[in-house]
Amino acid sequence: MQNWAIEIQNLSKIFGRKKVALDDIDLAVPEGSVFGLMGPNGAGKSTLIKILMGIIFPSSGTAALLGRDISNPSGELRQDIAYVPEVQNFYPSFYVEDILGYCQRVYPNWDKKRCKTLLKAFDLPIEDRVRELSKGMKTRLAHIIALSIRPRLVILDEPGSGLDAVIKQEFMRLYMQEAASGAGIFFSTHNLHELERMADQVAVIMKGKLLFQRSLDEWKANSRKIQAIFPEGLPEEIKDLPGLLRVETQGKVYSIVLGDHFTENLERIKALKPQYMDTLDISLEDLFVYTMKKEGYSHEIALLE
Amino acid sequence: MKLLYWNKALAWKEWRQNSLRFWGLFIIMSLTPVFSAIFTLALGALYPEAWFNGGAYHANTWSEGIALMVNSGDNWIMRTLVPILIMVLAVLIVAEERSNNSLEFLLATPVSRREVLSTKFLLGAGVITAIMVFEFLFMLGLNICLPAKYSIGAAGEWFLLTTSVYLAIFALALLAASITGNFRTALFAAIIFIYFPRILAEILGELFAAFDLYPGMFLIPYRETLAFWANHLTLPYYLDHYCYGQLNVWAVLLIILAAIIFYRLAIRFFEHNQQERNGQALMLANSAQILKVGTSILLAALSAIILAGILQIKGWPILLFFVLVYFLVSALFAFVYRYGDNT
Repeated sequence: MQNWAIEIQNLSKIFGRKKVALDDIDLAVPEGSVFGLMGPNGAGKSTLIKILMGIIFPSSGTAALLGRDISNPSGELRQDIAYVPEVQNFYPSFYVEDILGYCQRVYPNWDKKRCKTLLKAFDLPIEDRVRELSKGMKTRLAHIIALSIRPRLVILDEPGSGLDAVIKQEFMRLYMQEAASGAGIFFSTHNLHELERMADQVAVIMKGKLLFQRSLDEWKANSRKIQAIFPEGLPEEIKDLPGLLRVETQGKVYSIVLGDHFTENLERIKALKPQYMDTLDISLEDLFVYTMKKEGYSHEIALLE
Repeated sequence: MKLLYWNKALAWKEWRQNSLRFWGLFIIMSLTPVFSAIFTLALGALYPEAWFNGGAYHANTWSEGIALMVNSGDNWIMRTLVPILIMVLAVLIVAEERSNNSLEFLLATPVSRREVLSTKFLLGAGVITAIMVFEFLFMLGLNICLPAKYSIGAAGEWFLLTTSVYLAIFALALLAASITGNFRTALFAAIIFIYFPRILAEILGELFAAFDLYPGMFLIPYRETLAFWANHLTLPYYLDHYCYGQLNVWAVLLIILAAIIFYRLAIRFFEHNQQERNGQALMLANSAQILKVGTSILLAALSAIILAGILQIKGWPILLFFVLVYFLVSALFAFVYRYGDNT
C-alpha cells in the first residue's frame, strides 16, 4: 500500500464570504518524494501550505500529513515536520540562541550537534538579535532549524527567498540529502530551474484550483515543441490535438507546443504530411508559461509608445 | 495524542519574552505594601531622630498606607492602575504574537493552540498570584514583627478579593484577545468586557427613560435593579467597593469561577480562531459590520438622551429621533467604507 507524506481531499478555503482561495483540491504526495508546487502569484500555494501546517483552517475538506489528520488539534502532529515559510516570523527581540533554545525544547528529535555544524557552516551569529538579522540571515536560521529537527517531511514555501545563489544551492543540496534518506520534501516555488533540478513530482495550481499533478519526467517526456511547415496553411486538425498548449506562427513555420501526448500527437502531425517537421525540447519554464496562458493567465500588453 | 494545558518550552519562551513586563508589574504592585514600608523603615533606621509621629517603627508611620489599602481598598495603584496594567498585559501577550506574526512560527512547531494560550494564561496568572502571595506574606511578616495599623484578617480579606479580581480581569482580557485579530481591537474589546457593563447600564437606563419604556411608578426600582446587576458584572467594581469586614466569600468564589470560565472560553475561541495576520479583526463576525452597528447605536443612544434632556420630552418622538440618527450614522459609515480609504 502506498504511504502518503501528504494526502489532501476536497480541500477548499474561502476567505470572508466569497473570496475562494482554494477550490476542491485533491493532492497526494508519496512518502520520500520531492514534490514541487507551481502556480502564479495568488494561486493559493501559500494558503495551502498554511492550512497543512495548521496555521489557518480549511473551509471544507480533509488533509493528512504522514498519515495524521491535520484537524487533530494536538501539536505532536508537527514534531517531525519542518516548515520554512516565505517570510520568517521569529520573535524580533529574541537572540538567535533563544529561538534555537525554544526549538531544542519543543522538538523531540532536535539534533544539537547538527545545528551547531550548520550554524558554523552558514555563518550565523547566535549572539545577534533577530531584528538585527537581514532577510537572508533569517531565512538561513529557518533552514537551519528545519534541518536540525531531523524531519520526516519538509514543507518549504519559496525556500530560496532572500538567499544568495551559493547558500540557496547548499541548502537545497542538504534537503536532497534528507530526501535520499527517506524524508519527503514538499515545496512551492516560482524558481522553475530549482524545481526542475529537485522535484520528481509536480503539481500546478491556479486560481485556487489544482490543474494537474504528475511526475516531472513524464510531463517533460510528453511535452515538446514541434515546428512544421504545411503547404496549405495550418490544418484544422491541429487545433483538436490532445494536450495542445499553443500554436505560434513565424512566417511559414508553425510552432506547435504540446503539453501532453507527445508520441500520439507526433504520429497525427506526420499523418498531415508536413513539408518540414522538427521536434524541439521545451524547458519547464516555457512549459509552465504556455500552460498558464492556456488557462487564461496572461499579462501580454501592447508595446508602450 | 493528549492535549495539554501546560508546555514547559512555551513557558520558557513566554518568560523570556515577557519577563521585563512581569518584573515591571511586580514593582508597581509592590509600591504600597512592600517598597513604601521598606522605605519608611529604612529611613527610620538611618535617621531615627528625624522622624515624626512616634518614629518610623510606629504603626501610624510605616503601616498607614497599607492599612488604608487593606481596610478600605484606598490605594489608586492597586485599585485603578493595576487592573488596567493587567488588562493590557493579557491583551499584549496574545495580540503581540499576531502583530509580529510570530504566532505563525509558534503554530508551525509541535505545540497545540490550547497549549499556546493556556501556558500564557497559567504563567501570567501564576505571576500575578505569586506577586500577591508575596505581598500578603510581607504584610503578615511585618504585622507579626511590628505594631501595625492593620489586622492579619484585613490583609487576608484584601488579598483574597484583590487576587481573584485580578485573575478574572486577566482571564477576561485574554478572552477578548483570543477572539480578536490585533492589539487595538483586542484592547477595545477588553475595555468593553471589563468596564462597559456599568456604562452600558447607565446608557440603557437613560435611554429607556427617554423612550418612556419604564412603567412610570416603577422607574426607580427598575433602574436600581439594572444598576445592581451591571455593577456586579463589572469586575473593578469589587475593588472600588471593597471594605474590610464586608467581604462576601461567595462573591470571591464566584469571581474565581468566572475567571475559570473566561479562561476555558478563551481557549475554546483561540482554538477555533483563524490566525491570519490580516484576517478578520473579530472571529465572530465581520468587524466592519460590528463597528458600524455598534457605533451607530451608541451615537444614536447618546443623541437621544441628550435631546430628551434638552427638550424635556420623552416617548415616541425620542424613539423616532434615535432611529433617524442610527440610520444617518450607518449611512455615513457605508459612504466612508465605499469611497474612503478603508484599507
